[in-house]
Amino acid sequence: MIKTREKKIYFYIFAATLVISCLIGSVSIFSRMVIEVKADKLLTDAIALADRADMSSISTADLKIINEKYKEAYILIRKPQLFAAYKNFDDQSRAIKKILQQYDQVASGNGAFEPDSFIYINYLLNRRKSGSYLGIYTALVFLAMAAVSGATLLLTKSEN
Amino acid sequence: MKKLICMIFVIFMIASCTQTPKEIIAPLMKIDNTGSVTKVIVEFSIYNDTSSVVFIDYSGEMTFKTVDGKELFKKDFKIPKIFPYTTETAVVESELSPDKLAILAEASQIEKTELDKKSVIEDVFITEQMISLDKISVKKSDIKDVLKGK
Repeated sequence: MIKTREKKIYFYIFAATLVISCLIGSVSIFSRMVIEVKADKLLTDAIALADRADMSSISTADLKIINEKYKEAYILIRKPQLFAAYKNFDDQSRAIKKILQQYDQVASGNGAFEPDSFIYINYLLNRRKSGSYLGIYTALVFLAMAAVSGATLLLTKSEN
Repeated sequence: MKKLICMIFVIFMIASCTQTPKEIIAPLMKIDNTGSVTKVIVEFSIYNDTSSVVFIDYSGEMTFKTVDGKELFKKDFKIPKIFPYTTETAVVESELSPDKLAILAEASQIEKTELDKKSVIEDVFITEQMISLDKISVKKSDIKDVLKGK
């Protein structure tokens, strides 16, 4: 009787930790492998274009392309990563609120992204990256818990 | 077990709903006595404390009253957009009859001689209790959709 209850408990712990690990892991890996790579590329392209052109004589067409790339990158990373919410009360989030206040207006059409916007958008991207790393490590911890509970479940079964 | 899962689900649902802000920030009043009728202009701000929800067409009815609850006027207001972490201001203007103006002047400690002058009394401090917002209607949109122009 006790063994049966124990087995159930081990099974529930195994299932719950595995599900949590999969959920957190998939969200964080998607952010790391897709969103951040795309945003990184857009920012690199924009900065390369700004570097190639002499800033004093940069053409309107180039400025437009830079603006579009910054805008696309900004929209991609505008929603915070699961583990890097902008609401959190830390030193970084205070600076980020100022960036969001300004760039939400710019991205909605009230102005244009300046070539030096790279610094601020990259700041957002770095926060997102640290959030997705934290997510991946958390998923690994839950996966380890699932492995331990799974192994214990198997051991309990083999003892019977 | 099923009850526990349902409870957790309901708690998550309630926690994930964005509340509509109703807190009034920095209300100010201006009394314009330059025309044939006296106008009272009330300004107040609303702050969007969310990180990724845009409040679109935030509208409602503002009641302006004295601290002890005497109603002075009611007027509709509308704020087109409030982006995350920003404060937007609504301006409401109304004409005021001489008797209501006298009540307002007394409540706001404005001298009667000031009111008799043909002038504009700017930036009169009023407390949050003098304004109440009702019939609030707002459309909540995701920031990404707004920025993409959807």
